[in-house]
Amino acid sequence: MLKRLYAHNFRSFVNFEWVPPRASVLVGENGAGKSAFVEVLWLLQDLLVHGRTVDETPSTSARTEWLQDELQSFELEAIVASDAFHYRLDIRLETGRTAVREELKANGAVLYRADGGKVELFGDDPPSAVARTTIPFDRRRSFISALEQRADNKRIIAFREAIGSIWAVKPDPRRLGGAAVAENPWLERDLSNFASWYRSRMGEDPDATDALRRDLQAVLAGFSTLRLEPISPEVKDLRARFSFGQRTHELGWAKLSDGQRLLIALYGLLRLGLPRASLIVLDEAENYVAPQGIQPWLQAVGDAAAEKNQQLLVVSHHPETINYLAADGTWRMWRDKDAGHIRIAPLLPDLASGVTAYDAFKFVAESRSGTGLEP
Amino acid sequence: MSQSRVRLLCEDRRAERFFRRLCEQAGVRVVGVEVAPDGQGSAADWVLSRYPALVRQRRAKAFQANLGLLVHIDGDAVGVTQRKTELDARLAAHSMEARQAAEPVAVCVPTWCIETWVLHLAELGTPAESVRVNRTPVGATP
Repeated sequence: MLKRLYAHNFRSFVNFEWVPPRASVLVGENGAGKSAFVEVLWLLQDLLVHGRTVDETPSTSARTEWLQDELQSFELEAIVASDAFHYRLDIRLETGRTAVREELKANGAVLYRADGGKVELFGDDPPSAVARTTIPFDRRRSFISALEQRADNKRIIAFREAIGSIWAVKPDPRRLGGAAVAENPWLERDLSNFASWYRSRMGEDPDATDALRRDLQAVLAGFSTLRLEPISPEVKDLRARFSFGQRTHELGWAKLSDGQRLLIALYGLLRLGLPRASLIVLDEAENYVAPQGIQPWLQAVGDAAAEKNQQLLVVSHHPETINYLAADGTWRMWRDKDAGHIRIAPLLPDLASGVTAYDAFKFVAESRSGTGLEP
Repeated sequence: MSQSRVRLLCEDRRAERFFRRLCEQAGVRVVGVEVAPDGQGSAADWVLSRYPALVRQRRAKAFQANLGLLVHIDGDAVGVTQRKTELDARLAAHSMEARQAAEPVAVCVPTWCIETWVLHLAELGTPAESVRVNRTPVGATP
């Protein structure tokens, strides 16, 4: 579980700190930093899991415009199994080149440190006070992404896997393609390769694929099943079959509406992806879906997260989403009027008034927007 | 005959999940849910405040015979009778008629709270309705 996130000199985050709850909806006006929060998680995944160099991430181009500071800092605290992890990442210029400096602790003991192109591993059980292994490594990358599992680094691997099991997605219906070019075990953050990912996952988990079909039959009028139609030796086209009365017809992906494509992808995510997540972050996932269509999906996601003890954080502008998830808690992000940076605080509606969380947010946003006052 | 449908008005997430699943088991389609947000004050007050608006909505759709409203409010220390009186009083304050016996508006008042029902139904004991049930999940740190 993500216990704390700190970001400095990234987008409009200046000494930004958040201790997220088990489940919550994040609200805020445009530019209030909601998506930037998701980008921080992506940045950490890119470095720690996908092995990208810091130059391949948007980190340096995303420095806070008005700070004129070349040091970016991030901290992440998480509970994984029973271990309390603290990870710190600094990104800075070293002799004209971008470099990372990192430290990972578990239960207060240093497991890993990287600075100036030198990686130090302190062992695992028990950790050593001095580095057991020192390795030269590319200063633009995190060695954590390259580490092979061994008996003395299980905690570092567990931390990496926890970061890898963060599912932070921001679907873009316009980019959802229907061509499954090849089997792909990774689902893109905008779900753009959903068809290829579905092709990979449907073979691995037939029970979940059946559950997906039943979900879609419940939410899409006339829906019967999904089918992959070979259009070349390598490429298959994802198609949806519908039945109305005695008539059956099949629609290619391009002929489905944006909302239909998104619902298929969202329920696919629910059944085939989210069961493996430790933290689920959904950034405006419900755009393009009719209000009556989104609540059943949110209920299913919320139920599944609660049953599996997963953390669920949802970014939304959608009244239905905000009001439904507000039972678990609402956090509001906004830009400080004087300093410009992002602030965050819980939004606590006055229950005696019967006001909904969305209306409470609108009221606060309209009456205090940009005043810098605590809501 | 078309499937029965219901809107839910609930005090908290646990009750919402309980009644939503109860409806699903009974073949009743849940078409909308309102749950009290995490906020300042009493969630029971929030349900009492929302109740007239949802009853008015339901009455405006009197032609939809298969559409119902299910309201959940915990009895807490107040009890079932007093809660029903409070709900009727909210309608009266909005110049609305009291709930009628034949009206498709159900009011559920688990007392002390929904966990009292859950423990009983799961055969994990039958706590007295006059006692607050510990809401801490099994195995969690209080």
